[in-house]
Amino acid sequence: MNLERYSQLVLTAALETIADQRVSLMVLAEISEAGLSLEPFLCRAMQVADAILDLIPDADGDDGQLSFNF
Amino acid sequence: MIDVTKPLETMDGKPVTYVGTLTDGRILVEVTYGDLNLYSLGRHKALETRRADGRKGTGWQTSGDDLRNKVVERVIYRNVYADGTVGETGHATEQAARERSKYGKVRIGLLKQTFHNGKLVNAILTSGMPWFRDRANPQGRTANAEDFARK
Repeated sequence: MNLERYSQLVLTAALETIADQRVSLMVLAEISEAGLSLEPFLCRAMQVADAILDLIPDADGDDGQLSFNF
Repeated sequence: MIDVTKPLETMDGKPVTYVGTLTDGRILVEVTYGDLNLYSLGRHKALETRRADGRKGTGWQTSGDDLRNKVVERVIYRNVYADGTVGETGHATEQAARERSKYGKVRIGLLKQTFHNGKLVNAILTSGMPWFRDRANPQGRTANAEDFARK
């Protein structure tokens, strides 16, 4: 897996965490299938999610304040 | 009460200039009519009054000619880094954010925040090619696995 894809998945996981408080199996499977460790991946994603929530406290609401553009 | 010390416009977006307040509390304003996109075509200004709350009518009805404080939109861009941090600086343009990512960090995305009158109304997270800058290479380059592993 290249770093661009890995970065995309980190951001995807972060946004999934913000929206649903969980990371989808598809994302986790892609990381696992690439032979990468889940722990550092999830750690990065959680940190990104926390940093975004610090800036946008209502991002986990249903007002659509935060969207994806991948 | 509408705040006449801040920029005004009508509800349907016509430009409004505050002129003064009458002794009975009504507001005197200059409203610009006509298509602003067509060069002066049908464009004219009219001196009109509004109630203190900005409404044109006296009843409960609302109108496109009611006043509101003009929506001041501000957009900023922040870098999102691989170490899970988001840049403290809000850059005015996407390009400025890209060119000024923090030394020693890998940028993995950009967070675009839109504010209306200082209130956050929208945020978009965009991913991109991981990018790394440092003192030796202020222009930056595509990040590699070693950059990613930095703390």
